Amino acid sequence: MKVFLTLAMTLVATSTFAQEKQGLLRQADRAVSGQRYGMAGCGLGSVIMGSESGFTQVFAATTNGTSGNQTFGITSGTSNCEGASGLRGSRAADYVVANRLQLETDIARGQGESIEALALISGCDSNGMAQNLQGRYSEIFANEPTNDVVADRVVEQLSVCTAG
Amino acid sequence: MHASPPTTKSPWSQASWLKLLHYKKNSWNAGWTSQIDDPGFFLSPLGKSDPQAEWEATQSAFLKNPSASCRFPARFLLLNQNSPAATSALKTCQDFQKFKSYLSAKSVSLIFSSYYLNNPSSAFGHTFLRFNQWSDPARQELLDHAVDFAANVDTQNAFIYGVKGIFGLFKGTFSLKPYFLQVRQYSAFQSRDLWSYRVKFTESEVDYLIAHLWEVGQSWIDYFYFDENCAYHILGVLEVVRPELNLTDELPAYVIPIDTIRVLKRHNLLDEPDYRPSVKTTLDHRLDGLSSTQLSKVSAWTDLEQKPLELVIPEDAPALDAALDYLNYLFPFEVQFADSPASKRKTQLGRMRASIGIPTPKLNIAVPRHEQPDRVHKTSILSLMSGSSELDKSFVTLRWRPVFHDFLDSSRGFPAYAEIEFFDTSLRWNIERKKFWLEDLTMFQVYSLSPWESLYRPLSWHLRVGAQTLTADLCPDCLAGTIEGGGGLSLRTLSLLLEGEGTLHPDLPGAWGYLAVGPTLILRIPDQGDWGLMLKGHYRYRFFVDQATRDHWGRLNIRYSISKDLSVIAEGGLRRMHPEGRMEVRFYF
Repeated sequence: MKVFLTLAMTLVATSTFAQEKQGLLRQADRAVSGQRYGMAGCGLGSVIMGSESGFTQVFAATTNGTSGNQTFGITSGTSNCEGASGLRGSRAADYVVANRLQLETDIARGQGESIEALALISGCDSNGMAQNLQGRYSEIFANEPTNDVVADRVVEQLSVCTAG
Repeated sequence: MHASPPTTKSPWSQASWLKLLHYKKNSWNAGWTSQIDDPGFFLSPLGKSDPQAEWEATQSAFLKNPSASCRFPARFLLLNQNSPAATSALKTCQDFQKFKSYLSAKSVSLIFSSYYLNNPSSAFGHTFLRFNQWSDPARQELLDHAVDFAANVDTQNAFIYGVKGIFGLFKGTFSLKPYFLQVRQYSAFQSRDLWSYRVKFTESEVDYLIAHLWEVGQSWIDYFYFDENCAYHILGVLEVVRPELNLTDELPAYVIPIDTIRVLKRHNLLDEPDYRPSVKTTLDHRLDGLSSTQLSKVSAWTDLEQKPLELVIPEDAPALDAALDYLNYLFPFEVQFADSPASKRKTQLGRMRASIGIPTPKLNIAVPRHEQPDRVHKTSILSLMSGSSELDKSFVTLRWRPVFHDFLDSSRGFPAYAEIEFFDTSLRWNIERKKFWLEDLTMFQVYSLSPWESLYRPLSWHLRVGAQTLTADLCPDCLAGTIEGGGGLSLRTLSLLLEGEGTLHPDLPGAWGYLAVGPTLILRIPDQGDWGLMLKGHYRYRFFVDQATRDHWGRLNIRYSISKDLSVIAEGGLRRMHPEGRMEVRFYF
């Protein structure tokens, strides 16, 4: 009975909702790309979700913790995703790196929420941008590009966008 | 402790101060203890257990050192009665202002990430906060930020994990994340629908919440799975804004996320929720619109063993849209790597889709109000049953189940395919024998009966751990420990599982127990108006016993919900060909 109870307790405990440990977030690209992601408010670099347990301190890992604390740190780039118009360049790139997965799907469809958000960050017209990116899908995703490469190629397209 | 008696006038005994520091009344004396465990959260060495000392220390810290207000901006606002002067004094706090402008919050929403049975630690759902930068409707919530509370797990050992969780040995901390990351984790990676309830706070109340999160976000709290968990502390920070309400005191001893939503709803603090369908929900809607020819194309395109022909016609666009979602759903992990086969296939399909041009029309998915989480029945039940069986004669049973849901409860607000129960306890009174005993104690039981659909073939499974009183012909008056579980498949609401059971009791032959194996058949009609129906059949062949080697029964249950908090259930069946029947009145509280 003791064994059974111990076993049951363990099962009960490991089965509670309480903490969402499965969302393993691993910083993949940050190490290689250095400073750029330090600027990222919208992006956190490329974050990989996995099913392995044992993740620790998602945020201690994914932010630079520059605000005098590790766990609640914000990155040094100040407010970044506020939707102010006229932002160009690295912020959009950071966003693309972090959201490549959804962007790839949406660009193929020529429509979608992730494109709308990108349009807002970069001050572009969403529909025009979506159409343009869709037309350049094969270029943007040619040769199994890393997220960085995708970001560069997308940002190149943004430079010709019409203001939203 | 300070000698001066607390009077209602002393500022440190006000609810606003006690809540802000997360003090709770001690159960053993008249004192207080803060739930924050990080010593860095207190300015007085006695701060954790002395609200007055902490108040005085805070007051003198603010006088001596202006920068103290930057570490504790909410305290600063409180001590200065939220005056405009105090607000502008905080403008000099660089990091805090950076944090504030980072959130740029106009409002705050409580997000409920729906039940996720494939990972036991998420089976009850999860809650976190989102700070909204825009007021509807021009909103781009993906660019908003979320604040989450979670344990920092430092072990991969399930046993240590359990023990540390129960005894509060993990440190829980708040974290700040872009909302798109939360969407990716919950909606895309785990296929969980997200429901967001805007909290009815004014902008200045939202500002006060942010100031408080800045204080508490830099501190840690011992994490307890059962009570002081993620949902609890998210409610705890909201309570700071409305100290007069005692929100956390209204929670049951065992807190599950939906309870916190219920408490906020009760005080009319939440709007009707917005709904974000998961990748799986979106995919289901896309698949629903496809013909069988298109479905077979989707299935061929997403089969990584086959090489797809890159020949497409414009009519393929909806099928390609579905295929892209399907790959994201099937390979949530692999698609993150550009060189994985799944990712290569996705790019290939994307190229095919993009070559057609024409933007995909926006998908309009009606909000499934039936699943709206706050509409679920209350968390605990108490039920009274009366009935008779040839094996057990006439009996009365009292059942208590603190959490949470079985197939006979209304499925409103809960996934129709799932059952999850903790500490389900039944006491039985045998009228003729005038005897009272513990009939069943299920520590933990889960059914996940996701149906097979056009493209998915999910596994249905069941697990139960507990103790049960065995039938008299097998072992009279034996309360035996049991583990039971199995897997199978479900078609709509019909499920077939093959199960195994291990039962331990020293009075059983061989002085230990038996093993059993056999099928379980379940047919459910969850909600037809206020009615529900379930038919269950069960056969077990038991090894290592001399009698009752074959156990089989079939039962039909019909439920009628009289109100949200009360239902009656009639059950009739045959156990080893002996008829049995009972009536149950179920009260939710």
